[in-house]
Amino acid sequence: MSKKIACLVVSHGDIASRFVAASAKIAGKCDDVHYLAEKDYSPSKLREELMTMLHSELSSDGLFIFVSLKGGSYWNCAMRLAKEFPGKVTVFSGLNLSMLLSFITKKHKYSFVELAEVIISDAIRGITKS
Amino acid sequence: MALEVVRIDDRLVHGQVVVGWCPEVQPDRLIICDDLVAGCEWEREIYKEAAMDYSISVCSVSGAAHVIKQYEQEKLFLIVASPVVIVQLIKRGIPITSVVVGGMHYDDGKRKIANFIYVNDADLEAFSFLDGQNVHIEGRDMPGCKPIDIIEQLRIA
Repeated sequence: MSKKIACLVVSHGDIASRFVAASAKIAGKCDDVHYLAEKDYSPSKLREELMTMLHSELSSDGLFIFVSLKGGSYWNCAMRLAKEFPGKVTVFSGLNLSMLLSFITKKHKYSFVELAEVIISDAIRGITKS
Repeated sequence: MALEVVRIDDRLVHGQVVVGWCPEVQPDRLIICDDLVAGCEWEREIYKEAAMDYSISVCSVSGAAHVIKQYEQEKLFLIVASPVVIVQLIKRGIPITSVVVGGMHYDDGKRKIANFIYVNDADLEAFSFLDGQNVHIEGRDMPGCKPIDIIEQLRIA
């Protein structure tokens, strides 16, 4: 049975939508990848948006939230959900395309907990210096 | 040492504060004054992580005077979520003469007075009180941005 793990990309400006569009160009459109467009949300409104996704049928087996900046307002907000819903929400900071592609291509192969480890490993492996 | 910067931002400590303001202000310590955060261990932990390389203390409104006194030799950057908290602090005797409004975002019942500043009735009342106390109030999300005269904006809105 297919796992219902969703991922939500949340970042400043157009970053989230552009990342999702770029991942679709490389790996094809994935119905489990979502993004939140930046608006002038208060922290409570942002939380409402994240909660809506968390309680969606799409993420019944878990939700990964990808944000750009550790310590940023999106990270702060997402971390609260991770604290409130341990085992259901995992937050990744340092958004990169490797991270997103890892989710898209490997989400069916692993459990929620295992997938989180695979994604962070792939994301870090994608950062190099030559 | 007096409070170097007092900032109102409903996101409290986040990217603009750590990456934008802290290199400019170079505070010895960030202080979050917020009853909700002060009362919740994991909220405190989240903000301590968010502060990255900067020292940070979290206090309630009632504990603010003690914390500010404790670190009075340091350059302090005080951050609160709302102007209502500033009023509470002033009424408790904490000398605040200048406030930077860095972000009060949209929520139900709020109306816009500037790009990143939305206010409700309680905020209006608080700003009016602060104006009456001759507290300088300016809107500025980043250090290099042109300040917005909040009281003037409230008159126009």
